[in-house]
Amino acid sequence: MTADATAPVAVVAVTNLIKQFGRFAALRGVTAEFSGGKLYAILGDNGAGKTTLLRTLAGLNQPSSGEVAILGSSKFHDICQHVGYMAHPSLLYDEMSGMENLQYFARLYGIISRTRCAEVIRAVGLDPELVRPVGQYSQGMRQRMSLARALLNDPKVLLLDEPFSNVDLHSATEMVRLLAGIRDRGTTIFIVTHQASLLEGAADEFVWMEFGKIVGRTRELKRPETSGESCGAISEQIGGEYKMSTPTGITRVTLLKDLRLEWRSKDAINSMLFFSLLVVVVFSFSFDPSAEESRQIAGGLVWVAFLFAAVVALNQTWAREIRNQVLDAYRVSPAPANSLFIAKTLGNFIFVSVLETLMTPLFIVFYRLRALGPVWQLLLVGVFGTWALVVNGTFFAAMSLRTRSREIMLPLLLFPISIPALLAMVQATTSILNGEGARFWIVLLATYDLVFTTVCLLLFETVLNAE
Amino acid sequence: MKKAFPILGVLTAMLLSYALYQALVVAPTERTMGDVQRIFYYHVPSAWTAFILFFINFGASVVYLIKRNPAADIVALVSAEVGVVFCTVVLVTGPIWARPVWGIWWTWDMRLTSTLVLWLIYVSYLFLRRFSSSGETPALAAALAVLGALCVPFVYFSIWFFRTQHPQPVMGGGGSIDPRMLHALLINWLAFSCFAFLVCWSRYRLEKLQREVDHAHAMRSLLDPSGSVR
Repeated sequence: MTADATAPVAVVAVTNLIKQFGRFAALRGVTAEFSGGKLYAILGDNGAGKTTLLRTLAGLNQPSSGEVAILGSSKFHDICQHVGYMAHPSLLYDEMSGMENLQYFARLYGIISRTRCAEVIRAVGLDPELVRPVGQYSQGMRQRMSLARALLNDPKVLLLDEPFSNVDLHSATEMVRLLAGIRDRGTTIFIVTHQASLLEGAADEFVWMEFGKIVGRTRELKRPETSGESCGAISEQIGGEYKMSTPTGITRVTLLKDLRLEWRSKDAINSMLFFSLLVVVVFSFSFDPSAEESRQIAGGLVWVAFLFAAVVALNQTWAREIRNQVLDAYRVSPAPANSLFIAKTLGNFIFVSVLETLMTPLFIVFYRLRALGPVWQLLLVGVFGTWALVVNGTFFAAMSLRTRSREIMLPLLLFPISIPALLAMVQATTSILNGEGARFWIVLLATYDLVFTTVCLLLFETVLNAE
Repeated sequence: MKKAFPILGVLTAMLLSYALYQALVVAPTERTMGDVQRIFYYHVPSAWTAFILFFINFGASVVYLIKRNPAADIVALVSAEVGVVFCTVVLVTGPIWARPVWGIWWTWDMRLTSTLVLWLIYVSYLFLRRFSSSGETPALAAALAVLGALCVPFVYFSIWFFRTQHPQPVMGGGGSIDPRMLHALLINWLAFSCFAFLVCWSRYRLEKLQREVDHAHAMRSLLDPSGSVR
């Protein structure tokens, strides 16, 4: 990108941008051009449309009408590799350390270098070796780590929403110096802030917004000379360790991240175990069957217990992603939506499989069960049945994120759609326990899995980005 | 178009009256079940109409996912709503027939269960539309409609492998039917289909009008300095 001194190139251009939320118009016909290598402070009262403008530039809000062009492209996906975004929430996983967070997000951009992560952490004035989880950071440290995440991909356009909130004056001043240094190397920076005084002397232009419109652009202060010494320098190039992300690689790191977090907290496994045990106890109030009767009812009992327990874990699938709006960090990255879906589904499959492995011996003991049919078929039913539950469950958990009362919505959406699979699982299990084969039901389950996995993959991006 | 609606309304009312006459007077009384069998002329056409509406819901949802056409979203919504009503008629008339014939209101027969599952799927579709915020609703609902429609063949294939108490289907079930009964059935189906179309049309116009009002409010909010209107 080259900038002509006499006619600055518009790096960001918005034309008659309108964004409505129902009957509320957050942006009301914004038209503006922003040159490269400048620092813009976006100012205005609460509800003026600053954050909506920033989210629209970040591709997180689709305009109701009008156009946004960044680096000459109106398709955000084409240039997302060059955009950094920092939101008001941290967009970080509370359960992981700063370095772990950054290593994960770096992989979404195809950056495999630990050095780069350490570099940006140091640049914002934090210690890369700090092992405590981000959840235990002070608000100011969290903000700085969030800025480090936004800087990871060496963006050409940097969008920052309230980067100085809850940051002490000294640290905020250091952050401004750092940002000014980044601007001087050619990055275009937009900062939404209520602390305009911090940017006096650093911002090239102050953009004033009111009621969803830009009402003025002023240049009260001249650009200062910045050294960026005390915050440390950020390298201009990521270097030889930068490579294109592969969907498989992103799936793998996302899955490993989820497994690591579950290993630390054991939230899903413990709650599922407790819940399925509770279902068994409640069932025991209704009947105390003989071994023969057990074989007749076990299929239904086991799968209903697993289904109800799985819902507990499935409801948690996206909990960490929405806590600090981490999902937005994923959405602005070039990582494909389906990599996230596959990783989440595989993670849930592992969690539910662990539950089934731990609970099955208990069922055998409690209900005196013995399979008279082929055990390998029972294993196939377990694998295909579990996959049917988790693939739909992960999909509907993402869908219910977009609804009110999402804990209620997940079973409402999941159970009716899963009934054909559940029917096959129960029939197959009962047949095998009674010494009969279950080839038809296994084929039905495998077909169900194939069809629903394919359709969920086709539709997941629509669900993730629905607005 | 405004004139066509009352004309179609009158024609449908006439057709429904004729269908009622065919079902209650012209069609012969079934030998073993007696007059209670006549509920069949409402039960079966309701089921067929519901299936057609659910199929329209699927088609409109696919069109919405591809073209993002708001009209397709309205068609999907309307067909699901009216389809659920007709499916409810099936679930209510079934037990009314079953009580004197089988001696029970309900049995967990696969055909009954599968119809209940179908009803649950489309009720969950309407729940999703109610619980999601307006901008996101069409895309989410369309995705659910596609998955819901995919369940239908699975449910129906599984029926083949269960013994069922339910009478065999009229079409393709292998049995025979008195021509006067078949005539009454088809007339009733035509009348129900016309009635369903009329209700869908009316609901479509209402929904379209509602969205135009919402849009007008949104446009007004662009002019209002505070950005919103009550």
